[in-house]
Amino acid sequence: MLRLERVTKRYGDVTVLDDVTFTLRRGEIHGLLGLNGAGKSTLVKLLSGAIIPTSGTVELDETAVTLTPAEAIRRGVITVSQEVDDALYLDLPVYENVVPWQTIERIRPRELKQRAATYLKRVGLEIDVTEPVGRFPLSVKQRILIARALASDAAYLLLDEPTAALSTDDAAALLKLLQSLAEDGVGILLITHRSDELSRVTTTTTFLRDGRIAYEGPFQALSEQDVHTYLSGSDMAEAVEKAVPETEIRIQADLTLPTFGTELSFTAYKGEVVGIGGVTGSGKTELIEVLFGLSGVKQRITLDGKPLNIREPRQAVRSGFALVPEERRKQGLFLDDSIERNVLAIEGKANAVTRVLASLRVKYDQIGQPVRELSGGNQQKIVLSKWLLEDRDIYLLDEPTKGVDVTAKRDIYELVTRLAKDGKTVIFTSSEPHELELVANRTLWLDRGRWHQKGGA
Amino acid sequence: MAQLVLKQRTKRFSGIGQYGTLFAILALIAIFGVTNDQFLTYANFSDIIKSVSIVSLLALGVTFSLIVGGFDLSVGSTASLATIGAASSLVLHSQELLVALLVPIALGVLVGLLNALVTIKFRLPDLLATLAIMYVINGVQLTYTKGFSIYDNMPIEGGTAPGRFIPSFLFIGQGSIGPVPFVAILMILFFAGAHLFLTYSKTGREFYYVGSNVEAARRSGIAVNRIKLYAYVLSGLFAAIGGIILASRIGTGQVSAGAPLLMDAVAAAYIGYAVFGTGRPNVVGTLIGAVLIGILLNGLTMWDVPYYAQDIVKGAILIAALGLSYIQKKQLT
Repeated sequence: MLRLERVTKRYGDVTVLDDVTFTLRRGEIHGLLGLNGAGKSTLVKLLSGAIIPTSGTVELDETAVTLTPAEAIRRGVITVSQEVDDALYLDLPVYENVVPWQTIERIRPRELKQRAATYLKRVGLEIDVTEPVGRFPLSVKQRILIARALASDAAYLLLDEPTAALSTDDAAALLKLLQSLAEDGVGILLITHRSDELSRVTTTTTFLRDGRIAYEGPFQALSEQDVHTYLSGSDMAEAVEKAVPETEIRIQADLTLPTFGTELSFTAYKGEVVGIGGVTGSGKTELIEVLFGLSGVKQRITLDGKPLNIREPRQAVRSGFALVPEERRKQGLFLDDSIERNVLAIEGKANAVTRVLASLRVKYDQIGQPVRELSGGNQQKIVLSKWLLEDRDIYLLDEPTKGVDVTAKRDIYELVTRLAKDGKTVIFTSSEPHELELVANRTLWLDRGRWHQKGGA
Repeated sequence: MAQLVLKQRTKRFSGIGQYGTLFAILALIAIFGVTNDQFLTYANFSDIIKSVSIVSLLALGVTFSLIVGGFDLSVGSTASLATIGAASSLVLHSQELLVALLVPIALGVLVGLLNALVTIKFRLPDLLATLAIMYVINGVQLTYTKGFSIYDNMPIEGGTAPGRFIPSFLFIGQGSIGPVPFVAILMILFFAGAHLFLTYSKTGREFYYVGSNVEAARRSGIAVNRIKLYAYVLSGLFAAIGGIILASRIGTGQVSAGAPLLMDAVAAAYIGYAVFGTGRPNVVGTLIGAVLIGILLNGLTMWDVPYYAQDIVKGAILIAALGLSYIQKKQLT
């Protein structure tokens, strides 16, 4: 039994987990569900020893433990993170990735290869173990990581959205594998947004909301309405009162997505929030980048009935577009520059800065403070602020709530609604169906660069 | 269980990648052999091996730093420092063989520790930090010698230098056992040792883990900083051994003698990436790379290509080697 007993985790004055008691038993598949920032990854990090609780205890087999990452692995608590590449040695052969380092006593390549092949067989892989791992697709890499976990005698497997970037077939095969592992007595924690997966394989599901447990029990017993309530809470739904779109068409776009080579058309109205849903790698970010002139390919877009010719971001900005990129720290901010300089990066008057910051409820000490010092949510608000000084017509928001705490998220939803009410058009991408339901007038789903009928959930 | 099984094949890096470097060496030997009747002689091959041995040892040092994800640019100046250290011990201080070997080796290890200090403790980027150390080391040996070379019977204050390059020291770079040059034996021993260490020892494999994914290595309990430290110390050590052989071969302690060897060593290590098509630094590949460069330079000299024009060829080869290794890297991400 792997257990959190009345655990609280705080960063500064932000509480990410609040008095949470959580139990993972061997042989069960335990689903974990929650919006971005609800505390899911914090919970996983606590269980795997990556961080230690501010208060409360972590228990392993009935005794309180202080886990370090290495100690957790030694005791059979293995995490398979969403970013599998971070945990793999991509340029080293498969067998060196599978056999865990700690268990090797003498290096005998032939023996290591045999050991690796045995574990790979258990996860259903028949591959050449001398090939570098980097040459295999994601679905195989995940199984290689699970094989490694088995080789370190995994008693508990913590999987962070393992199916998010997989095709439907690969996801189904992975879930089958997890079920067979659970039958062998492995305790599995499964984070996923897909309701069908939760109802199919989990024995228990825990909902996290705002750092607290909102529900714990069988997922199968819940109605769609229950799921919605446990995820976002009733007050969240109240906070967002959607605007009504006008009848005037703002954008008519016929696009080509370069990475997929697919054609996409869509229309967006004045005062409308269009949700673009899809998993990582579905083409959301490409779509946003194409609209903002980052693809370098000529696209057919009309704005208010007039054809546009946008080949680079500069022209997009001039035509009234605003972009909040997916990777805010890498693409959206000048981290070492002050708040003021970041907000004034596009254009605008210095005396308007504090007004915009206040309207977004940004928490900061002084305007000359480097943006690096702010929390994720406040950083995201800075990215938004720079587009609010001057009037924009179209706001392209690429996963704007990723890695943002709950309060900041609510502020962002409110801003989006306010913009729509002012007649702006907002394109809002997310991988979370519930979030899009909450904020968008209409949601289009992407799958490998094409529109498709229904979402992942 | 049946439908769980996933068989997956990957595209192997094909064509010129896998055995291309070996073919290139054979082709070069054939071309030079046909166009010049002096090329395929024992004397010439003995020459090639002697020059390859020095470059290859520096390249071995660079390889260690590359394996852990670093980069040691100071090997050339470390080799220079080692030649000065050996020459000074022999000529200025009349020391015997053991001291003439230990002094440069200690200097090499010291440079390695210094590189480790700036890259690990101060967290400076490896390329820039070792570049800075390269300058410092170069300055140190120039200051010590006041810019002059050290040679037998050199004039010093109040007469001539008391010591000389003793025969046992000169044997290292100039002697041979039977028909085999002694340096060839040394080179093979060091490379075999390094290869066995990296392939079959636990610590050796840790070098590759650290270079492949530092964070994953740290999380699996590998002492990342200690491994990097080992790599830089080994790099300094092998550069110093290269310097000793250099001093022994030319029989003088020439200032900055090792500087031109740096780029050859880097090129050899990067050609090594491409050998066997693995796309990662490896000892055997580095040796083959050094041999390729040695043969090429020797053949070009025989064609009367002036040394300054040879740099153009070397640069072109380095670009080709880098190109190949980056193509392979790209397939892995």
